[in-house]
Amino acid sequence: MTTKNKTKKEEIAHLLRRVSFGGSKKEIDFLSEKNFEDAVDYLLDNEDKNPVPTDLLRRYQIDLSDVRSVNSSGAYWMYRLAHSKFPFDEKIALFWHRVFATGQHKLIQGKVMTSQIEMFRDYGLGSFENILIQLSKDPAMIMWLDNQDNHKTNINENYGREILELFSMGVGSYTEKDIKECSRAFTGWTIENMPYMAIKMRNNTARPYNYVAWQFKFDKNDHDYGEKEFLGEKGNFNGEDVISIICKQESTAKYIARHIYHFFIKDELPVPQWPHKKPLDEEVIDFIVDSYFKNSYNIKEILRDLFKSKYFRAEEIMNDRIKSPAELVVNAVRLSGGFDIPSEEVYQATISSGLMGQPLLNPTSVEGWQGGEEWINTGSVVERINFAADFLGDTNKVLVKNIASRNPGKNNLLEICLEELGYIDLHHTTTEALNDHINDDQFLINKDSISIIIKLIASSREFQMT
Amino acid sequence: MKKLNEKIKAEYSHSVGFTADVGGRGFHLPRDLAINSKGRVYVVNRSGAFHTVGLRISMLDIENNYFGEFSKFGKNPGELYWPCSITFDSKDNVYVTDEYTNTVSIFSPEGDFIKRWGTKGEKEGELNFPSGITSDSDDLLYITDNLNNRVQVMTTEGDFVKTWGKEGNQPGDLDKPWGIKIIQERVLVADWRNDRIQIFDKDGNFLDKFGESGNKEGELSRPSDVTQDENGFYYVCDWGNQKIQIFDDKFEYCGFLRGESTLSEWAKEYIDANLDEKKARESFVPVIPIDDVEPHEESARIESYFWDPTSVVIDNKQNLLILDSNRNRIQVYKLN
Repeated sequence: MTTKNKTKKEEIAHLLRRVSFGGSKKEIDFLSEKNFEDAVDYLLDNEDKNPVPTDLLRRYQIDLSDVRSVNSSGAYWMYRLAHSKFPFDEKIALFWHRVFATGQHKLIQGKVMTSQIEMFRDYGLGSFENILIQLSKDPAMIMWLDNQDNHKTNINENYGREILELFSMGVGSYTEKDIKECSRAFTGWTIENMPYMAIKMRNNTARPYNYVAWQFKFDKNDHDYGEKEFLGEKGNFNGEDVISIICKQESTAKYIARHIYHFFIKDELPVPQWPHKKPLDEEVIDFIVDSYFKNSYNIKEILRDLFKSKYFRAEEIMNDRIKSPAELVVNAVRLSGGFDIPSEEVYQATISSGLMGQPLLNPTSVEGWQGGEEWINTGSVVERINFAADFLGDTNKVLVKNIASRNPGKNNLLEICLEELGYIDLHHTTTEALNDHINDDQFLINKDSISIIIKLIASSREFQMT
Repeated sequence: MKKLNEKIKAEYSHSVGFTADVGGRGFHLPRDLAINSKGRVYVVNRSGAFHTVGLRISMLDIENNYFGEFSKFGKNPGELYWPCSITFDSKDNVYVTDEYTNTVSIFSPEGDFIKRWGTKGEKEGELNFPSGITSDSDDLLYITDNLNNRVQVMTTEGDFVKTWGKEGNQPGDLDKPWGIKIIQERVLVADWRNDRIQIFDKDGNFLDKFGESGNKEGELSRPSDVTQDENGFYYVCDWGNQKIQIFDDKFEYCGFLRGESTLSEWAKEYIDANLDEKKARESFVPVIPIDDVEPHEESARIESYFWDPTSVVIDNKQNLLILDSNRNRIQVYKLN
């Protein structure tokens, strides 16, 4: 396993691409003054309690205040992704959004999805056990998987099944009886004013006074307090008890480890193949599993171990993972200096992510996005290139202005552009082709030609990877 | 919910409007309201950034009479893009600010487009996100030039008269001002990001200010508008805290309104026509215990509370009209 051939700045750039959404030259230069482990700690611990001016969001785009529509709630998150001063928080929310895929198309109101993402920010770096508890109480998840219809006299197994199959253990680690017993434990976990909310959801109406955001309710009269047998243990289990048992399982540790590997290390096989195919790298999975138990399921500490490990710094994983649409869009927006004020650009970026295959807050099913090669098809590639090229090459934005202000010559224009785009490492054939273009007698250096070079880099395979 | 001391009386009367996000009777994400000399209420519906079909100016009164609507989404003359605020001249012609196009559009009292003016910029007479607008007895327009952090006074023809204010937090400075009213020859400005109300004379001389940042009673968070009743009480539209906060003429805190909306006449008609919702609503508990959440989230969960109140107006019968933006309605209180 190679760890030494990359420069310090290239390693920090890799760290920022995976932990954040890519770093600017300024950010990479700053973190390069630290040793790698300290840079990891800085990115994980430098929490900002007020990372985004939400008052401006809500004032200038009124529909980012009621966030009812999918475009509004998605755009609200897009602005946060692009402007957060603590982007690791947003990255982890994106991670959980992919694992615990919940879609607004069924829920109708975007506010509960926005609240679910806020819950991921609040709890997503803590104990996995608590994350599952919060998820099970999350109104969006309750309505998404019909737990409001899970009654002590007539269970609905939808949530009981998915928390085992998709959210913790994976297929093959439990029995059908475990699903029923798990479902019994979650009876009575519903939302306030459920009959009215269910009708509003079904009728998809904002009348009379817009929607009313949902709130968790434990209905003790509808909870099955009887004895249950779950994963080999017996007791009068409730939802919290069941989650405690789930989190102790080796299969849970392996399943979450594989998701972490898939998101932060390397594109794995699609999740439905996991019961049938071994992980790409079992050594890394074992490392994460050990960390899971050593750190009492604490996600932040698991990630800290991983990011500081040799596996994360291995040269063969660098630039070898396809950026998800959200990662690509946010990377481009952040590098170009962000949105001026909450404007139409925020919505355009949100829609572009959707056209590339990742509509924020609206995955097509509970299985979420598989990632990897799924992101790439003839349509999405065009959208990916067009968005990145247009946004990064905009001569009115700070990226092109910054490059121009460094007074580049033909001998260093490409190097400066690559630095400003986050120390991108191009394949030598790409470098030669771009230098040929720059060294053409017709090529004059000005903001427009800088923009063209930026667009060509943004169109490269290397920029599309992380 | 409300909490008032013995100095002030404000009784919830009724609500007007309901959600109408594709036009017609009702509102969609309204930003401002104003009352003309004949008691007709005009409501600026901004609607959504992509869902734009709800954008229009609605005409009604607080007795639930609906008189129609005018304008629509767009950048052409007569259309509005990000409309924010509304006022009238002495002939009841209608003036609407547009934060996107940096213009003021003028309509007849019936909504026929007359003209528009305005240019983006920082120079005198130019605008950058014009938010609030009001007029005085001489038909001069007072505009909170939001991103220029100043008040500009213009004629109805768009000619520059005077300006005051600059970015900052010292007395007389402004930080993204929003609502503006002229009461008894004094100009009241909701100094939004400074969390305070500032009072000027009509020449722009600073007279006074009140309000401290915070979320406790009497503290302000991003006030969007302000008005004053005939007894001198100030009603601050405390957008960030989701309240109307009330102060006496010496700026002593007198209490707050949090909203008490019931179904309006139009909302009742809707519910009556949809029996499944009507039946489900019979078990609906309007005010439920809430976890410890910030006011915006609390408002999202309690239908009767204000949710992003943006505008506050008192009519000549001492009715307090509060534009309850995210709930697409006006809550009406009777004062004294």
